[in-house]
Amino acid sequence: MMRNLFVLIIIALLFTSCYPDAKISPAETDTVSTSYVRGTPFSDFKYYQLVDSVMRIDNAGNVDYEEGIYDQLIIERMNKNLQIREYENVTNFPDSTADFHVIISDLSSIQVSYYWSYIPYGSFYWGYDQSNGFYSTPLPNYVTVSANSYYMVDIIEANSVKSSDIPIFWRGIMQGIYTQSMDKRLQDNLDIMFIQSPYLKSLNQ
Amino acid sequence: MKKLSLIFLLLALGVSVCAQEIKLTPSWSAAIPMGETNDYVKFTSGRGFQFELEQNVNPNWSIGGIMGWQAFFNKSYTFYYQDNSAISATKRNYINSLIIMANTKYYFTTTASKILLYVGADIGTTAIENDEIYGVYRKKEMYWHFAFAPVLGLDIPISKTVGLNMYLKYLNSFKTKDSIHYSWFNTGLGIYLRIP
Repeated sequence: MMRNLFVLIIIALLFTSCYPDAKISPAETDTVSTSYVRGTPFSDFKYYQLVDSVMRIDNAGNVDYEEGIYDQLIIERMNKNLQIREYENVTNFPDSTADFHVIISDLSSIQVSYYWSYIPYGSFYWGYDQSNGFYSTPLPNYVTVSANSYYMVDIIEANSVKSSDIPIFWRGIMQGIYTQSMDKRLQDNLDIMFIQSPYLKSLNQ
Repeated sequence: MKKLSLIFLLLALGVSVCAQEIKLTPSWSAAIPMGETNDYVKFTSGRGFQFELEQNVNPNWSIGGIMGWQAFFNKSYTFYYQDNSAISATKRNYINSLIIMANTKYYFTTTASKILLYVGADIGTTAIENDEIYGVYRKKEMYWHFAFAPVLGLDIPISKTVGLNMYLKYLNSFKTKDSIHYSWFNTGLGIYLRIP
Protein backbone atom coordinates (compact mmCIF):
# COMPACT_ATOMS: atom_id res chain seq x y z
CA MET A 1 0.00 0.00 0.00
CA MET A 2 2.71 2.39 1.08
CA ARG A 3 4.85 1.44 -1.91
CA ASN A 4 1.96 2.15 -4.31
CA LEU A 5 1.48 5.53 -2.73
CA PHE A 6 5.19 6.11 -3.15
CA VAL A 7 5.01 5.36 -6.91
CA LEU A 8 2.02 7.71 -7.26
CA ILE A 9 3.97 10.49 -5.58
CA ILE A 10 6.87 9.98 -7.98
CA ILE A 11 4.54 10.19 -11.01
CA ALA A 12 2.89 13.32 -9.60
CA LEU A 13 6.28 14.96 -9.14
CA LEU A 14 7.19 14.37 -12.76
CA PHE A 15 4.21 16.48 -13.81
CA THR A 16 5.14 19.44 -11.64
CA SER A 17 7.60 20.78 -14.17
CA CYS A 18 4.97 21.29 -16.88
CA TYR A 19 4.47 24.94 -17.79
CA PRO A 20 1.11 26.62 -17.72
CA ASP A 21 0.52 29.09 -20.53
CA ALA A 22 3.29 27.56 -22.60
CA LYS A 23 1.84 28.48 -26.00
CA ILE A 24 2.54 31.90 -27.43
CA SER A 25 -0.40 33.72 -28.96
CA PRO A 26 0.22 35.80 -32.09
CA ALA A 27 -0.56 38.97 -30.12
CA GLU A 28 2.28 38.12 -27.74
CA THR A 29 4.74 38.38 -30.60
CA ASP A 30 3.86 42.05 -31.11
CA THR A 31 6.95 44.18 -30.79
CA VAL A 32 6.91 47.98 -30.81
CA SER A 33 10.06 50.03 -31.22
CA THR A 34 10.52 53.77 -31.46
CA SER A 35 13.43 56.14 -31.85
CA TYR A 36 13.85 59.88 -32.29
CA VAL A 37 16.46 62.44 -33.22
CA ARG A 38 17.79 64.28 -30.18
CA GLY A 39 17.10 67.99 -30.12
CA THR A 40 13.92 67.79 -32.19
CA PRO A 41 11.54 70.44 -30.74
CA PHE A 42 8.48 68.18 -30.60
CA SER A 43 6.79 70.41 -28.01
CA ASP A 44 7.10 73.44 -30.33
CA PHE A 45 5.42 71.60 -33.18
CA LYS A 46 1.71 72.20 -33.63
CA TYR A 47 0.54 71.43 -37.17
CA TYR A 48 0.94 68.24 -39.12
CA GLN A 49 -0.11 66.65 -42.38
CA LEU A 50 -0.95 62.97 -42.51
CA VAL A 51 -0.89 60.75 -45.58
CA ASP A 52 -4.23 59.45 -46.84
CA SER A 53 -2.81 56.07 -47.85
CA VAL A 54 -0.20 53.59 -46.68
CA MET A 55 2.92 53.11 -48.77
CA ARG A 56 3.74 49.44 -49.54
CA ILE A 57 7.31 48.41 -50.17
CA ASP A 58 8.27 44.94 -51.41
CA ASN A 59 11.50 42.97 -51.46
CA ALA A 60 12.55 44.49 -54.76
CA GLY A 61 12.08 48.00 -53.40
CA ASN A 62 8.95 48.61 -55.45
CA VAL A 63 6.46 51.03 -53.93
CA ASP A 64 2.71 51.01 -54.42
CA TYR A 65 -0.30 52.53 -52.72
CA GLU A 66 -2.87 49.79 -53.26
CA GLU A 67 -5.21 50.05 -50.29
CA GLY A 68 -4.93 47.38 -47.59
CA ILE A 69 -7.73 46.41 -45.22
CA TYR A 70 -6.10 48.05 -42.19
CA ASP A 71 -4.87 51.23 -43.84
CA GLN A 72 -7.72 53.50 -42.80
CA LEU A 73 -7.74 52.06 -39.30
CA ILE A 74 -4.03 52.83 -38.90
CA ILE A 75 -4.35 56.32 -40.34
CA GLU A 76 -7.32 57.13 -38.09
CA ARG A 77 -5.57 55.81 -35.00
CA MET A 78 -2.45 57.78 -35.79
CA ASN A 79 -4.57 60.88 -36.24
CA LYS A 80 -6.29 60.29 -32.92
CA ASN A 81 -3.04 59.81 -31.04
CA LEU A 82 -1.58 63.01 -32.46
CA GLN A 83 -4.72 65.04 -31.78
CA ILE A 84 -5.05 64.02 -28.14
CA ARG A 85 -1.52 65.34 -27.79
CA GLU A 86 -2.69 68.71 -29.10
CA TYR A 87 -1.21 68.45 -32.56
CA GLU A 88 -3.52 69.78 -35.26
CA ASN A 89 -4.14 68.12 -38.58
CA VAL A 90 -3.75 70.62 -41.44
CA THR A 91 -3.79 68.10 -44.27
CA ASN A 92 -6.28 70.22 -46.24
CA PHE A 93 -4.15 73.35 -45.97
CA PRO A 94 -1.05 74.25 -48.01
CA ASP A 95 2.08 72.21 -47.22
CA SER A 96 3.87 75.23 -45.82
CA THR A 97 1.51 75.43 -42.83
CA ALA A 98 2.64 72.07 -41.39
CA ASP A 99 5.48 71.63 -38.91
CA PHE A 100 5.83 67.95 -39.74
CA HIS A 101 4.49 65.26 -42.02
CA VAL A 102 3.48 61.75 -41.04
CA ILE A 103 3.99 58.88 -43.46
CA ILE A 104 3.08 55.23 -42.92
CA SER A 105 4.78 52.31 -44.66
CA ASP A 106 3.86 48.65 -44.80
CA LEU A 107 6.95 46.45 -45.06
CA SER A 108 5.17 43.19 -44.25
CA SER A 109 6.01 41.61 -47.58
CA ILE A 110 9.71 42.20 -46.95
CA GLN A 111 9.53 40.69 -43.52
CA VAL A 112 8.16 37.37 -44.76
CA SER A 113 11.52 36.36 -46.14
CA TYR A 114 13.33 37.67 -43.08
CA TYR A 115 11.03 35.73 -40.88
CA TRP A 116 11.58 32.33 -42.35
CA SER A 117 15.30 32.76 -42.50
CA TYR A 118 16.53 34.13 -39.21
CA ILE A 119 17.31 37.77 -38.65
CA PRO A 120 21.10 38.02 -38.93
CA TYR A 121 22.89 37.24 -35.71
CA GLY A 122 23.63 40.36 -33.73
CA SER A 123 21.15 42.49 -35.58
CA PHE A 124 19.14 43.35 -32.51
CA TYR A 125 20.42 44.78 -29.26
CA TRP A 126 18.83 46.28 -26.24
CA GLY A 127 21.70 46.50 -23.85
CA TYR A 128 25.26 45.54 -23.24
CA ASP A 129 24.42 42.49 -21.16
CA GLN A 130 22.33 40.95 -23.87
CA SER A 131 24.41 41.99 -26.82
CA ASN A 132 24.94 38.52 -28.17
CA GLY A 133 22.04 38.70 -30.55
CA PHE A 134 18.45 37.73 -30.91
CA TYR A 135 16.72 35.71 -33.54
CA SER A 136 13.14 35.17 -34.59
CA THR A 137 10.83 32.95 -32.61
CA PRO A 138 9.58 29.80 -34.25
CA LEU A 139 5.96 30.04 -35.26
CA PRO A 140 3.36 28.89 -32.76
CA ASN A 141 2.01 25.71 -34.27
CA TYR A 142 -1.63 26.76 -34.35
CA VAL A 143 -1.23 29.91 -36.44
CA THR A 144 -2.74 29.35 -39.86
CA VAL A 145 -1.75 32.64 -41.47
CA SER A 146 1.90 32.93 -40.75
CA ALA A 147 3.38 36.01 -42.34
CA ASN A 148 4.79 38.81 -40.28
CA SER A 149 3.02 42.16 -40.02
CA TYR A 150 5.45 45.07 -40.17
CA TYR A 151 4.37 48.72 -40.23
CA MET A 152 6.63 51.74 -39.99
CA VAL A 153 5.41 55.23 -39.06
CA ASP A 154 7.68 58.22 -39.66
CA ILE A 155 7.43 61.80 -38.51
CA ILE A 156 9.47 63.75 -41.01
CA GLU A 157 10.41 67.33 -41.68
CA ALA A 158 7.60 69.16 -43.51
CA ASN A 159 9.52 71.58 -45.62
CA SER A 160 12.61 69.74 -46.65
CA VAL A 161 14.65 71.34 -49.43
CA LYS A 162 15.75 68.01 -50.89
CA SER A 163 12.88 65.57 -51.46
CA SER A 164 15.28 62.61 -51.77
CA ASP A 165 16.88 63.10 -48.37
CA ILE A 166 14.13 64.08 -45.95
CA PRO A 167 15.16 64.24 -42.29
CA ILE A 168 13.24 61.84 -40.06
CA PHE A 169 12.46 63.18 -36.56
CA TRP A 170 10.78 60.09 -35.16
CA ARG A 171 10.21 56.52 -36.29
CA GLY A 172 7.87 53.91 -34.86
CA ILE A 173 7.86 50.27 -35.94
CA MET A 174 5.30 47.65 -35.00
CA GLN A 175 5.66 44.03 -35.96
CA GLY A 176 4.16 40.69 -35.04
CA ILE A 177 2.83 37.47 -36.44
CA TYR A 178 -0.03 38.14 -38.83
CA THR A 179 -3.49 36.82 -38.05
CA GLN A 180 -6.87 37.22 -39.71
CA SER A 181 -8.03 39.92 -37.33
CA MET A 182 -5.38 42.51 -36.64
CA ASP A 183 -7.61 45.52 -35.79
CA LYS A 184 -7.17 45.67 -32.06
CA ARG A 185 -3.52 44.66 -32.13
CA LEU A 186 -2.62 47.38 -34.60
CA GLN A 187 -4.55 50.00 -32.64
CA ASP A 188 -2.94 48.92 -29.36
CA ASN A 189 0.53 48.89 -30.88
CA LEU A 190 0.07 52.39 -32.29
CA ASP A 191 -1.01 53.57 -28.84
CA ILE A 192 2.07 51.94 -27.30
CA MET A 193 4.30 53.80 -29.78
CA PHE A 194 3.09 57.03 -28.22
CA ILE A 195 3.16 55.73 -24.65
CA GLN A 196 6.85 54.91 -24.98
CA SER A 197 7.55 58.29 -26.65
CA PRO A 198 6.52 60.77 -23.95
CA TYR A 199 8.77 63.46 -25.47
CA LEU A 200 6.31 63.87 -28.37
CA LYS A 201 3.88 65.74 -26.09
CA SER A 202 2.05 64.86 -22.93
CA LEU A 203 -1.52 63.65 -23.16
CA ASN A 204 -4.26 66.28 -23.27
CA GLN A 205 -6.42 64.59 -20.66
CA MET B 1 30.25 15.08 -19.60
CA LYS B 2 33.29 14.37 -17.43
CA LYS B 3 31.58 16.20 -14.60
CA LEU B 4 28.49 14.06 -15.02
CA SER B 5 30.46 10.83 -14.97
CA LEU B 6 32.26 11.93 -11.82
CA ILE B 7 28.99 12.74 -10.08
CA PHE B 8 27.46 9.38 -10.98
CA LEU B 9 30.61 7.62 -9.80
CA LEU B 10 30.45 9.45 -6.48
CA LEU B 11 26.79 8.55 -6.12
CA ALA B 12 27.48 4.91 -6.86
CA LEU B 13 30.35 4.83 -4.40
CA GLY B 14 28.21 6.54 -1.80
CA VAL B 15 25.51 3.92 -2.08
CA SER B 16 27.87 0.96 -2.06
CA VAL B 17 29.97 2.12 0.89
CA CYS B 18 28.41 -0.40 3.23
CA ALA B 19 25.55 -2.80 3.29
CA GLN B 20 23.22 -0.71 5.41
CA GLU B 21 19.73 0.32 4.31
CA ILE B 22 19.35 3.22 1.93
CA LYS B 23 16.77 5.97 1.98
CA LEU B 24 15.01 7.05 -1.21
CA THR B 25 13.26 10.42 -1.01
CA PRO B 26 11.21 11.91 -3.82
CA SER B 27 10.29 15.51 -2.99
CA TRP B 28 8.21 18.28 -4.41
CA SER B 29 10.28 21.41 -4.58
CA ALA B 30 9.40 25.11 -4.68
CA ALA B 31 11.92 27.86 -5.33
CA ILE B 32 12.18 31.62 -4.88
CA PRO B 33 14.53 33.21 -7.45
CA MET B 34 17.30 35.30 -5.89
CA GLY B 35 20.05 37.61 -7.09
CA GLU B 36 20.61 37.80 -10.85
CA THR B 37 18.02 35.06 -11.44
CA ASN B 38 15.51 37.66 -10.34
CA ASP B 39 16.37 39.73 -13.42
CA TYR B 40 14.79 37.01 -15.55
CA VAL B 41 12.09 35.46 -13.40
CA LYS B 42 10.41 37.14 -10.48
CA PHE B 43 7.83 34.62 -9.38
CA THR B 44 8.16 31.73 -6.96
CA SER B 45 8.14 28.45 -8.80
CA GLY B 46 6.26 25.42 -7.60
CA ARG B 47 7.40 23.40 -10.58
CA GLY B 48 10.20 21.26 -9.28
CA PHE B 49 11.11 17.92 -7.83
CA GLN B 50 14.11 16.07 -6.56
CA PHE B 51 15.04 12.46 -5.95
CA GLU B 52 17.49 11.78 -3.21
CA LEU B 53 19.34 8.60 -2.41
CA GLU B 54 20.98 8.55 0.99
CA GLN B 55 22.89 6.18 3.22
CA ASN B 56 24.04 6.61 6.79
CA VAL B 57 27.72 6.09 7.46
CA ASN B 58 27.06 6.38 11.20
CA PRO B 59 24.00 7.42 13.27
CA ASN B 60 24.76 11.11 12.68
CA TRP B 61 26.33 11.32 9.23
CA SER B 62 24.93 10.39 5.87
CA ILE B 63 26.13 10.64 2.30
CA GLY B 64 24.14 10.44 -0.88
CA GLY B 65 23.14 12.01 -4.12
CA ILE B 66 20.41 14.14 -5.58
CA MET B 67 18.92 14.45 -8.99
CA GLY B 68 16.36 17.21 -9.41
CA TRP B 69 14.58 19.57 -11.70
CA GLN B 70 13.42 23.09 -11.12
CA ALA B 71 11.57 25.20 -13.67
CA PHE B 72 10.74 28.90 -13.61
CA PHE B 73 8.42 30.88 -15.83
CA ASN B 74 7.78 34.58 -16.08
CA LYS B 75 5.65 36.59 -18.50
CA SER B 76 5.25 40.36 -18.52
CA TYR B 77 4.91 43.23 -20.95
CA THR B 78 8.25 44.98 -20.72
CA PHE B 79 9.60 48.33 -21.93
CA TYR B 80 13.32 48.89 -22.50
CA TYR B 81 14.76 52.34 -22.99
CA GLN B 82 18.22 53.04 -24.31
CA ASP B 83 19.55 56.42 -25.41
CA ASN B 84 17.02 57.79 -27.91
CA SER B 85 15.16 54.56 -28.59
CA ALA B 86 12.68 52.31 -26.87
CA ILE B 87 11.28 48.85 -27.46
CA SER B 88 8.40 47.01 -25.87
CA ALA B 89 6.91 43.55 -26.15
CA THR B 90 5.67 40.64 -24.13
CA LYS B 91 8.68 39.07 -22.48
CA ARG B 92 8.64 35.40 -21.61
CA ASN B 93 11.36 33.71 -19.65
CA TYR B 94 11.68 29.99 -19.17
CA ILE B 95 14.44 28.72 -16.93
CA ASN B 96 14.90 24.98 -16.64
CA SER B 97 17.54 23.50 -14.41
CA LEU B 98 18.72 19.95 -14.08
CA ILE B 99 20.38 19.41 -10.71
CA ILE B 100 22.87 16.59 -10.11
CA MET B 101 24.63 16.74 -6.76
CA ALA B 102 26.34 14.69 -4.11
CA ASN B 103 25.38 15.50 -0.56
CA THR B 104 26.19 14.95 3.05
CA LYS B 105 24.06 15.52 6.10
CA TYR B 106 24.64 15.72 9.81
CA TYR B 107 21.67 14.64 11.96
CA PHE B 108 21.28 16.03 15.45
CA THR B 109 20.06 12.96 17.29
CA THR B 110 18.28 13.26 20.61
CA THR B 111 16.49 10.77 22.82
CA ALA B 112 13.68 13.23 23.50
CA SER B 113 12.17 13.32 20.02
CA LYS B 114 11.95 11.10 16.96
CA ILE B 115 12.04 14.18 14.74
CA LEU B 116 15.58 14.86 13.60
CA LEU B 117 17.02 18.20 12.63
CA TYR B 118 19.82 18.10 10.11
CA VAL B 119 22.25 20.38 8.36
CA GLY B 120 23.91 19.44 5.13
CA ALA B 121 25.68 20.48 2.01
CA ASP B 122 25.03 19.63 -1.64
CA ILE B 123 27.83 19.91 -4.16
CA GLY B 124 27.69 19.11 -7.83
CA THR B 125 26.53 20.55 -11.08
CA THR B 126 23.49 22.14 -12.62
CA ALA B 127 22.56 22.44 -16.29
CA ILE B 128 20.56 25.61 -16.71
CA GLU B 129 18.67 26.53 -19.85
CA ASN B 130 17.48 30.11 -20.04
CA ASP B 131 15.05 30.72 -22.88
CA GLU B 132 14.06 34.33 -23.35
CA ILE B 133 11.39 35.29 -25.86
CA TYR B 134 10.81 38.97 -26.47
CA GLY B 135 8.09 39.70 -29.03
CA VAL B 136 9.39 38.34 -32.32
CA TYR B 137 12.90 37.84 -30.97
CA ARG B 138 14.39 35.00 -29.02
CA LYS B 139 17.59 34.26 -27.11
CA LYS B 140 18.35 30.84 -25.70
CA GLU B 141 21.34 29.61 -23.73
CA MET B 142 22.26 26.45 -21.88
CA TYR B 143 25.31 26.10 -19.66
CA TRP B 144 26.63 23.73 -17.03
CA HIS B 145 27.49 25.32 -13.70
CA PHE B 146 29.40 24.27 -10.62
CA ALA B 147 26.80 24.25 -7.86
CA PHE B 148 26.72 24.31 -4.09
CA ALA B 149 23.87 24.48 -1.60
CA PRO B 150 23.81 24.63 2.20
CA VAL B 151 20.84 22.70 3.54
CA LEU B 152 18.72 22.75 6.68
CA GLY B 153 16.05 20.13 7.14
CA LEU B 154 13.81 17.97 9.27
CA ASP B 155 13.44 14.21 9.18
CA ILE B 156 10.05 13.14 10.52
CA PRO B 157 9.66 9.35 10.80
CA ILE B 158 6.11 8.05 10.30
CA SER B 159 6.87 4.34 10.59
CA LYS B 160 9.96 2.15 10.55
CA THR B 161 10.28 2.42 6.78
CA VAL B 162 8.48 5.64 5.82
CA GLY B 163 8.88 9.24 6.87
CA LEU B 164 8.71 12.85 5.80
CA ASN B 165 11.59 15.03 4.80
CA MET B 166 11.36 18.83 4.82
CA TYR B 167 14.22 21.00 3.73
CA LEU B 168 15.33 24.52 3.00
CA LYS B 169 18.38 25.13 0.86
CA TYR B 170 20.04 27.97 -0.97
CA LEU B 171 21.16 26.64 -4.31
CA ASN B 172 24.00 28.51 -6.01
CA SER B 173 24.92 27.76 -9.61
CA PHE B 174 28.09 29.75 -9.97
CA LYS B 175 28.88 32.13 -12.80
CA THR B 176 30.52 30.76 -15.90
CA LYS B 177 32.37 32.64 -18.60
CA ASP B 178 29.18 33.12 -20.61
CA SER B 179 26.47 32.90 -18.03
CA ILE B 180 25.34 34.57 -14.83
CA HIS B 181 25.32 33.24 -11.27
CA TYR B 182 21.90 31.63 -10.82
CA SER B 183 20.59 31.21 -7.29
CA TRP B 184 17.35 30.42 -5.56
CA PHE B 185 15.91 29.45 -2.21
CA ASN B 186 14.60 25.95 -2.40
CA THR B 187 12.09 24.48 -0.04
CA GLY B 188 10.79 21.00 -0.40
CA LEU B 189 8.61 18.36 1.10
CA GLY B 190 9.23 14.70 0.44
CA ILE B 191 8.28 11.28 1.61
CA TYR B 192 11.04 8.77 2.08
CA LEU B 193 11.22 5.04 1.96
CA ARG B 194 13.90 3.03 3.71
CA ILE B 195 15.06 0.18 1.50
CA PRO B 196 16.89 -2.61 3.34
